[in-house]
Amino acid sequence: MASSVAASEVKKIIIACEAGMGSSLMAANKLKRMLKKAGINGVDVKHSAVRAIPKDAQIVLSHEGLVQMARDKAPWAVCFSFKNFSNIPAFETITEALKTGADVVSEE
Amino acid sequence: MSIIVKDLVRLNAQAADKHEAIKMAGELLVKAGRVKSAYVEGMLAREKTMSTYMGNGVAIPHGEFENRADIIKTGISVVQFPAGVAWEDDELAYLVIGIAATENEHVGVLANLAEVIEEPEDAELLARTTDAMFIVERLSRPVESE
Repeated sequence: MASSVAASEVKKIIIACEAGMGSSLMAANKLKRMLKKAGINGVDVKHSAVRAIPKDAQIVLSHEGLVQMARDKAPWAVCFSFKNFSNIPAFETITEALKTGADVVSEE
Repeated sequence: MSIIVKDLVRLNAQAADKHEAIKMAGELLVKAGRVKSAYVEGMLAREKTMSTYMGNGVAIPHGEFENRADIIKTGISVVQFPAGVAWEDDELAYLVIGIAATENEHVGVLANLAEVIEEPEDAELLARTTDAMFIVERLSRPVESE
């Protein structure tokens, strides 16, 4: 499993939930706006069902109850987990790293 | 057919708990012919594994991956609880948004909903309005395409 990715290589971020129809989409909307506010362009933020994570994602975020499945499905990606769809601390980490051009690092 | 229409909105509702609130949101989808009644069971099951509370008084109950087979047509229902329904910990939900989506046609509605959640004043207006069309129109705004 990847634990870090260079900011310049981040083109697609996936937020994954079980069904891929509600929670992940709402969370993706939030991250999109955070990146836009920070002036970060060229990064695609998408939602997905955990079982269908696209192959071209560099970063995957998922609920703690699903993150192991996410890691299994997308071993090439840097994975972050969270407890609550309405409060995802990794959004700050990712936005800050992309803004400053630092590596996006997951310590999980 | 629009994803959200007046018949999918119920104002001034009351529920004893979130189980009842989710059933109400699900029944609207059933009545409007958007889902089979089995989908509502899926919504209740999904909520047990993980809360769909999204913040600022909004919850978005929906089914699980397997329940997609019970969706007839993508639709979104809205049940307004002016007094709130206890959702998790100390959080009350004032707007319970039932989601049934087969593809991604509902991305625009949820983008609008995400805006509402981030603007407490917007959420308050929707939680208090007595005009169902106000909710339909707020959630049907055109959004920037990607």
